[in-house]
Amino acid sequence: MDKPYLGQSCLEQGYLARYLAQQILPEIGKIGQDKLMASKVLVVGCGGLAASALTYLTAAGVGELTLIDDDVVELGNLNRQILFTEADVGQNKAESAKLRLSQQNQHVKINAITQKFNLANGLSLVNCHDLVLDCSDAYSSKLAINYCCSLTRKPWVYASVLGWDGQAALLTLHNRHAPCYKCWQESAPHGLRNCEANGVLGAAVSTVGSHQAGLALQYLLGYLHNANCLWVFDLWAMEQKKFQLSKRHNCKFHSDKLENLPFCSYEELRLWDEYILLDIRSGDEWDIGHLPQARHVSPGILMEVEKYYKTTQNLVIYCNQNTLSQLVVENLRNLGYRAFVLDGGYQAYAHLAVRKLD
Amino acid sequence: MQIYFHGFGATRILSGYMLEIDPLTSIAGIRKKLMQSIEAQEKYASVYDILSTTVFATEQQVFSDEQLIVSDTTLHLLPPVCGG
Ligand SMILES: [Zn+2]
Repeated sequence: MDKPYLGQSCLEQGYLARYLAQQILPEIGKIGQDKLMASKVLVVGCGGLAASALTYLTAAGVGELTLIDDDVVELGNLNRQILFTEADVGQNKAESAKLRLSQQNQHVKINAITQKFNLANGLSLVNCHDLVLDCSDAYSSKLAINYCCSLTRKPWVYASVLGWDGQAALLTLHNRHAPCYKCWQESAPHGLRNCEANGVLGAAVSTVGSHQAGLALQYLLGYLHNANCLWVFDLWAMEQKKFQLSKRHNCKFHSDKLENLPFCSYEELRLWDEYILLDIRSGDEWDIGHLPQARHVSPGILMEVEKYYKTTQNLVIYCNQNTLSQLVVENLRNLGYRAFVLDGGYQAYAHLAVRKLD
Repeated sequence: MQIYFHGFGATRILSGYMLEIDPLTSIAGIRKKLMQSIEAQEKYASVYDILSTTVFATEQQVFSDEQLIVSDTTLHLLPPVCGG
């Protein structure tokens, strides 16, 4: 992001007047406003939740917002998706939202991606943002966000609505002790539990979306006192309640060693005729030291795996301690690849590493 | 022990429902007993299936299926929601 927002230039460009009402809050101030202006947020889904959440993030001056949605506006969306008008019917939601939000605050950089968020495009997108907002309307999308954020260790703000009800939670997955979505929502909801099938009240969506924006702004400002709690809203009963979430010991996103995944040792590899050893740690870690014969790839290997590897090849994956590699291997296996986890990860074989200084 | 239920959203109809259950029963066990208890009652037909994926919580904490309940308490029912 360009930085015309910081320092004296803020005053020059009228930023102070624009954000004064929030900047005089002791929890924000000039430092907090600069933090917001330097932040990048990815928003998955541009329906009802996003209408409220995006409106407040844009108004608050979050520096860059990336909107991703492949859906088009329908007349039946307008009871809750209040960013759109009748003139937007038939238009892509991300593009229409971008147009509207750009008119709201010209100083926020807004990107629109007219695709469905999935594992293929999600990893690299999540990786280049500070925070992800889940404004999606499907369990599969929430799982994809959870997966990408687990892999890249990025925080996300979950939210869902249905009928008169909603939920929201800030999940700080950059902290390895934090719970993920699967820690409490283990299985897919029974039957069709979406707005089209069960109905939804616009005011309920707006309440939850605003709450989601509040959680996002708190995180971007550096406040974590509401992290890893599930907020539950019931607009029919006019109730709101907060429950603490905790990491589930047998959640596969955190377990030390997943069941049913093939592990192999570095010694065993020497007995194999053919294999490809893939290092999915960061570029900096790779530069400092890596295992002999390894190739460096990003965890986003899943995005284009078919371009580079065949399902008949033995792909052996390692990260530092097996956390990310297990998730990648599990997913590669689901895609039909012969993938293996290098047992113990890089740390188990660091003494064999090719080092920069060697 | 006596377990009272308070239902949010689609499980709201179960608010005030009470079950007598043995101490040290897990959340999975309580879920099963609750489903058995309402199965034959037509007024709860709409909520029966939803209970299989509903999250249970005490006054302050979301619980997993293995968590044991040791004494009288109120359990909140948080049905899954997926709309956006
Ligand atoms: Zn988890």
